[in-house]
Amino acid sequence: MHLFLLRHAEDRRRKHDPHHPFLTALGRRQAEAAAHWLAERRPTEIRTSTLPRARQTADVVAHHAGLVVREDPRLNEIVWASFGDGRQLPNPREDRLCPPPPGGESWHAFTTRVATCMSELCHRATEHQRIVLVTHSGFFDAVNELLSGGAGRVELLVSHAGITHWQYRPGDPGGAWLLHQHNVTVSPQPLDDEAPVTTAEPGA
Amino acid sequence: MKVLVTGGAGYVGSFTVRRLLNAGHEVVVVDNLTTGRREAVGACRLHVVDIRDLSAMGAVFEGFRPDAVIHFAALKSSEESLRDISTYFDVNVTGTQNLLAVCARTGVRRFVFSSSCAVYGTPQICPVDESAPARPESPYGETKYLCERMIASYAQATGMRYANLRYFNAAGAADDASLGEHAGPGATQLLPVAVRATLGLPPSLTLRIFGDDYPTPDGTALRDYIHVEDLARAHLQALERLDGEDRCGPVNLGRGHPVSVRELIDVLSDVSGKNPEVVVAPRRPGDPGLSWADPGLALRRFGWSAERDLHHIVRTAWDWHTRVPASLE
Repeated sequence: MHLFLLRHAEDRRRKHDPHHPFLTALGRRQAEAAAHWLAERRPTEIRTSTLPRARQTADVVAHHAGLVVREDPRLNEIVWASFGDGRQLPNPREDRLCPPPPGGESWHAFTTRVATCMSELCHRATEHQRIVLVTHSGFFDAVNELLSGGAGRVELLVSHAGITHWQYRPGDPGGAWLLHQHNVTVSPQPLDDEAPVTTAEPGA
Repeated sequence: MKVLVTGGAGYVGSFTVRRLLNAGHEVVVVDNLTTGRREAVGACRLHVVDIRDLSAMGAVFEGFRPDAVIHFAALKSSEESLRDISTYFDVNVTGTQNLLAVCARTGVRRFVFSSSCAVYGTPQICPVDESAPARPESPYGETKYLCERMIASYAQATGMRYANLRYFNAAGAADDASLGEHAGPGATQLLPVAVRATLGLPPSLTLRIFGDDYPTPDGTALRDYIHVEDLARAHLQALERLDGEDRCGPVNLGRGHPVSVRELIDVLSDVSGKNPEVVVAPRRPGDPGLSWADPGLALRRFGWSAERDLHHIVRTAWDWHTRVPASLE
């Protein structure tokens, strides 16, 4: 089974506009570029987090691949919450069993959710499956930590619309999991008004 | 082969002793009979000795001079270990250290250890293979992992061959109900507890499912149940094939098939023809939502795989507990 973890593309949340949790223009182009890259690898299934920035990214990929998107809340980002009294939240990976604020999720609870999702995929895995999971950066860290151990020692950089390619190959003496690529990013097509400036060759 | 079995009067130990004898090995059992039962070893020679008693253990080894040791003697409840940490470390770790010291002194060449999937802890991506990170969550799991590491260290120093067998959920009984698990009112293992509830035995006349809100297909926790006869056969095969350079280390023993709590209860209802009253209780802290093995290494190393299915496990457990009511006292 091949798993392509795709981080959602850039969204307006990053632009401090919480009322428009949708992809930016750049984000839509990032999603298109990732969709082209993934379509060439002929995915057989696509699942997405239920959060709008992921769902919109998934819709673009599904359109190119000719697949139907299935929502799976286990792919959602760790649930953040604040104490509401100005106290600074600990990094959830550092304080793994720390009871989160009401409505929040501890790192342990989050990784348990990720492990359950991944285990279900493994349970019904076949050699020819190529599954795209549209998710969030925390999911990438959780998968890496669950497979490799090391607790919070390593944090992964994942760009918007970055793709990480894992292969599950049970029984392989080299390891049941093969990491093919991490954080593959495909340059989006420039907009017309962002067309690159061409310069004359020297001497022309 | 001359094989000394610690904890040979216990549940998995007694099945393994019987299988060793049937295979023609010369067997001596060491058991302090705290939880083990004298009748479970049959005619096999039994020394009622605590593995923490170094001088008594030395005398047994000097008298028998075993070629191999299979080490079951231990306390085995994660829940209990949280309440009595020092006893768990004393029995499981100090006891194993004593045993290894005597093995080194008397030249034991093969060592098979009864370890546990508790060394993995949670969460894990299943199926869990032996390379998965070890993150025990209970003192019991910690003691098993420490023992595994001690065994590896001794083996490196002495050249002893070893296998650390990580069981998943042992269950079931002999086909003829001649051997099985003794699980009193304080038992926490699901199958005996479910049998008790089905028979209407106290302390609880209803069967409690701890959590039906796990992110699993029917909401209840998933486990990997393995028949005790399959486990016993694995010990024999591991012992007999511990002869190559590449055959040491941890090995999972499971069926590799996740079974939900509800699924197991449904099979018990089919087998017994009764439907126990089931109530849903909150999750228990520390209970993993899912845990099942990748048993592929046992097949590659020892040519072993589980043969008995879930129905067989449940049917033999039901037959045993109903034919031997004392097994639930």
